[in-house]
Amino acid sequence: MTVLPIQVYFALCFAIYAIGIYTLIAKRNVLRMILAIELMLAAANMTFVVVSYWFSPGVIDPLVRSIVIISMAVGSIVAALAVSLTILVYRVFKTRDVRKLSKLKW
Amino acid sequence: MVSDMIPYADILIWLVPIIIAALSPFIAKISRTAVFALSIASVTTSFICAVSMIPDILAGYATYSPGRVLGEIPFDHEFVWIDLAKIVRSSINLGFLIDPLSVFMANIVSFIALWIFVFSIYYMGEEVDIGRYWFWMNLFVGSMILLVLSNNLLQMFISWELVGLCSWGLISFWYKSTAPSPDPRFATEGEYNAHCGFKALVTTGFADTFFLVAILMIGWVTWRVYGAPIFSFTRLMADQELKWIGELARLGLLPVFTLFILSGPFGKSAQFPYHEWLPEAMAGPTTVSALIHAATMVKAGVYFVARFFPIMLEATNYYPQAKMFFLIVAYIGAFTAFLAASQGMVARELKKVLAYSTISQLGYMFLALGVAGLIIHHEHAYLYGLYHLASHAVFKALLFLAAGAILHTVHTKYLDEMGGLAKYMPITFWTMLMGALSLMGIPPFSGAFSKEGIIAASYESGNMILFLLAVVTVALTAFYTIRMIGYVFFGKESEHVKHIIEEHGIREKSISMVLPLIVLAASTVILSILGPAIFEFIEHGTLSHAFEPANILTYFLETLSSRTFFISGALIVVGLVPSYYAFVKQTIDVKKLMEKSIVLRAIWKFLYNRWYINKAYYVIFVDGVKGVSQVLRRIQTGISNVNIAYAVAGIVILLILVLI
Amino acid sequence: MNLLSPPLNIFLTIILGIVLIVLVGLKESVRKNNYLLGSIGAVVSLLTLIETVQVLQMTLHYPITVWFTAQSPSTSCLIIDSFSAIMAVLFAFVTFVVAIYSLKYMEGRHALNAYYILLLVMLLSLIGIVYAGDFLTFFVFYESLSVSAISLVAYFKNEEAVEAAFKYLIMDATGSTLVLLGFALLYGVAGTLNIALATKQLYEMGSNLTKFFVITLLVCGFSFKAAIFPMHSWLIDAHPAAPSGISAMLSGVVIKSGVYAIIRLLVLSSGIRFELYDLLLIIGALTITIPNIIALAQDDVKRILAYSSIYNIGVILVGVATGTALGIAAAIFHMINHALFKAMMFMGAGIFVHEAGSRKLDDLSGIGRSMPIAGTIFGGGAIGLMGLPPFSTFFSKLLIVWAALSIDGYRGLIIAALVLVNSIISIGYYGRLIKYIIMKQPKEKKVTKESNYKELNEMIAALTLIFVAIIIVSIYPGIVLSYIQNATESLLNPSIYWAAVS
Repeated sequence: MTVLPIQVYFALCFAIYAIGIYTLIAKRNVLRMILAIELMLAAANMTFVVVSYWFSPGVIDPLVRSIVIISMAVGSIVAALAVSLTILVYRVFKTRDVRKLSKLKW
Repeated sequence: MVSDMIPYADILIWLVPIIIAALSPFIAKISRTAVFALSIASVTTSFICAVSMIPDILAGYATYSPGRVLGEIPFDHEFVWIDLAKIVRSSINLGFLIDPLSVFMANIVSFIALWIFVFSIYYMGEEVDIGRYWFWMNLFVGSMILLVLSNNLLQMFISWELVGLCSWGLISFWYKSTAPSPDPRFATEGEYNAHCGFKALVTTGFADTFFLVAILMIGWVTWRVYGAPIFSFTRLMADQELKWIGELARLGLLPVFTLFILSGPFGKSAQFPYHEWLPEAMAGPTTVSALIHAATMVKAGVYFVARFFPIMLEATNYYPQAKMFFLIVAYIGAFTAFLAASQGMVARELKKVLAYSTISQLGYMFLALGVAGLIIHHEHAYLYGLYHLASHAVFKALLFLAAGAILHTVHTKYLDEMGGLAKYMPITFWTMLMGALSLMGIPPFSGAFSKEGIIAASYESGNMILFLLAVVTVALTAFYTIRMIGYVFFGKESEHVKHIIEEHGIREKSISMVLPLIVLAASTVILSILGPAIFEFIEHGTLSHAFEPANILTYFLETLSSRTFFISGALIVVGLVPSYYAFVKQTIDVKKLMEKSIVLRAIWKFLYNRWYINKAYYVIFVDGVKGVSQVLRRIQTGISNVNIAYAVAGIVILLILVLI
Repeated sequence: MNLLSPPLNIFLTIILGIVLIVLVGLKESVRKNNYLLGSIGAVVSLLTLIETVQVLQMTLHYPITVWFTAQSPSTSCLIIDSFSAIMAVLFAFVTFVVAIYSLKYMEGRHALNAYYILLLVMLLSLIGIVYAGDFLTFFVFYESLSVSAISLVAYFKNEEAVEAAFKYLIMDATGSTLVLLGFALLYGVAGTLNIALATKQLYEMGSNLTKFFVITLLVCGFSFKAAIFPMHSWLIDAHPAAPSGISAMLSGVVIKSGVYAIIRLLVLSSGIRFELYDLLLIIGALTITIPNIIALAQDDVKRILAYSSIYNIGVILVGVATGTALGIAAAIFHMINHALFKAMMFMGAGIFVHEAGSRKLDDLSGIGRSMPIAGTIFGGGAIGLMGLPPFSTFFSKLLIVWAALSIDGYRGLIIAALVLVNSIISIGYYGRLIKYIIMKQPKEKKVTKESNYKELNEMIAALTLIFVAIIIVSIYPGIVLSYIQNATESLLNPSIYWAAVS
């Protein structure tokens, strides 16, 4: 039994994803962008969980469990790469503003 | 069927040059003489193979008559090259169609190529990049022969593009030249040459895109009608009613198809509106100009129209809309002939005059082929168009080679820097004069008879615009030809020439340059006697009546006594006389005339600027596209946020579109 | 599940190679030895190449399935059919050539062991992507490809590389999250993540709005990696900034993996004619035109090649979007051709840039003259990419245009004309490349012919190797086409693919 109808949960996932996208478009800080990506990844994982709940409420679908765990592991690898790249960006450019990283244009 | 030709002649004829082409750069590094010898050997092989195919035709293995659907299947030798059987139920085949038209073309190509190669021995004798030169030249001969022997449209298109590629390689051959550039937009002459090559490539490429679409339309519509795509010429004609054209007409695509399929020939043969690349193509070595841009590659368009002609002629019996094909060909041909001849009258460079002349004469050939579809005795005009192809190939190659000899000796390409060379280079003078007379249409040279036939046909068509354009161009042709001869050979020597005389003296340089000139000059006379032979060969595939003297005599007399001959003769005089006095005898001072008359100056300016067509093309296509490019590149800002914004916007739009 | 039998031995080989490099690289002095590390990389990729060809022979008509544990719809597996096998051979070949190229190019540079490890990881991920039988496996390899590719883009650690890598990261990660979201929804719709079973479910759903939504979402996600307009902006910066061998791999094979995913998903779940194909046509048309025109205004050689890569991906997409057997076969053929050509061009450009020290066309004037072999091969590649015979790109473009014309109505004509006109525009910028690199006058301070010529031999060997492959394919396309026809059949008769898991 869900507290709210299942569509709300799906909408929630999409909303979180949209927040992530908004952050990517509107914010300048590189760390925020990395966080936004992590947020979107989390939203996607959440969607898996919601889908599993939709299929079999109360029982965790083993496939979904393994998917989510593996995807979180992969996400952490990407996060590690992202953070190290951010550090490199800071070292080379001395700024946290992504708008300043526009040497390569046109 | 036993055939008399050399076994595998139809494969060797193009394979040998291509193999030699691939080897040339490496051989050239080892020995220059070897690469020259091998190239001459390969083109001689091609010539021998081409000649060996004639007996086959005579023995009755092939007929392919204009106006009549095939009686017997021509010798059609095919291999599967790319098997797409599982996908499109067909395959791209490598096939060779040995019929009178293709053998005729193959002979012309290999014969002229042979003498041009001989000429190159001295002309390119000191060239450093000789390996590259022979690579492109041999590849060109191989691809051109492959083109004329192709039995299907796809293979023809492939060799069509290959020929265009060789043309690019050869026009921009001297890209390393550091001489000052004749065009202020470029830093050196080398860059100018490279630009000319690209201009040719882009213009013909652009024309060829529409051509390809038309060819693929044929494949598509035959797929609809017959169940499998058909590209082979013989099979396209196998259906008497040509249902595939009917399908195109039914779908309303016939006009589009006609325009597109003619776009290719017009591009390759430098007709309006694709004529602007040929004058620039003169930047290449003169042997290249002779081979590609006078005698062979530009004839590919005419060859294609001739090849396609019977199909469209049959089609007009069932679908009157198909007549548009001939109308377009005839009008564009006539107009271009006039257009180019008018520009040739004021050209400053020797080779440019010849280039304009080539465009103009090609216009005549198209006029002939177009008119052939409109009159009753279409064989008449068709055969004369092809005869003019042969005779023009010979005399234009002759003119270009003579021009090459002159350029090599005098080291300038501008007409006003030459003069008075007749006494120093007599053989060149006499042979070039013979070529010029043939071009103008004066008997007994072959050019006279071929051009006469075309004019007679245009008169017979009843279409007075075509006739008028044709005959006026005769006058213009006479004018610019004599002007050219006058500038080069008569009058006083210019400063430049005097300078050269002091330094090295001027004389005929080498037998390798002189021999081809003599051979070609003789050919242009012999070709006039061979007229009936060519007619009979192409039309019937036999040569039985060709060489009877009575036949030949009647042929001559008929031409010389026709009404149109008097008209065109009169016009030759009209063009010749003022030009003679202005440029040969130099009794009329052209400069003073120009200064006095505003009208003459305005006309001169208009013609010199090539009717401003060239400028228009540059503005629209080159600057226009570059401008759009500069505007568009701004979308690539460097800012990451904006990048994502675009992406997201795109996704959202897509999703919305999907959900609708 | 025998570890030593193909296809699993491929993974084993690469992993052993990686381990070897790690072990060998533990010693400080060996880390500087480019030849040793590079040869390990080259040998491993050669072995992989041989093994992938073996797999290709094995999968001619029926796909191979390799289950990781029990056979059930929720287990991870590998499903290899002809299409996957061809792609794997292509990837292995390009990696092999790049490894040979790197033997010389990477001489004296830093972090060599990391470079080769990442290169092998890229190869592993690429092969994993095409061999994957369920979307989870696919996703894992997809991400690992991103990670290794991004790290390699940032190799030089200068401003340009770091900026490019960062942008690549952002866009690629966004794409991956979108893909993951799509997989979640796909799981919701189809009940399984096994590629064969899921697509079968989708196919049997017919025309369903949810299905369209999910597929579009997934296609959009994949197009981040495949650099399809409007998600292409990262490619323009990333390809020039990477080391040339990596640019070759990026342009040649990494973006192809995105297209592979799109093809696999779309064609298997929708059959031949389907509403989404029109959308693909529009996107394809935009991808073809806009980057092509922008390329005319560039003056950096690698950037021009990058824009051209997007253009060719657009052509491939149009080939798929025609929805006919001919179109898909032509698209696969073009994928192979373009991969070979573009890898060759980037490597050639790398040689020139190495010589001249700059990527601007002005500084590269005439450099092809002092390196005749590289110059000729580069020129030949440019002619091929213009779409002129006798090269195989002419045929693949011809077939795509033919396929486009078979679409009903004027749309087919418009698309065909668009592809062809853009071919002519591409003559514009390839012509510029040829003009500057081969035809212009060299600047004064050029190196003499002899001195550097001998030193560049491995790079030129790599270049020649690809050129020979191209010539073989051009003269006798039948070699490749027979496999491609198998692949098309396998794609368009999905029952064979689906049967692999039942």
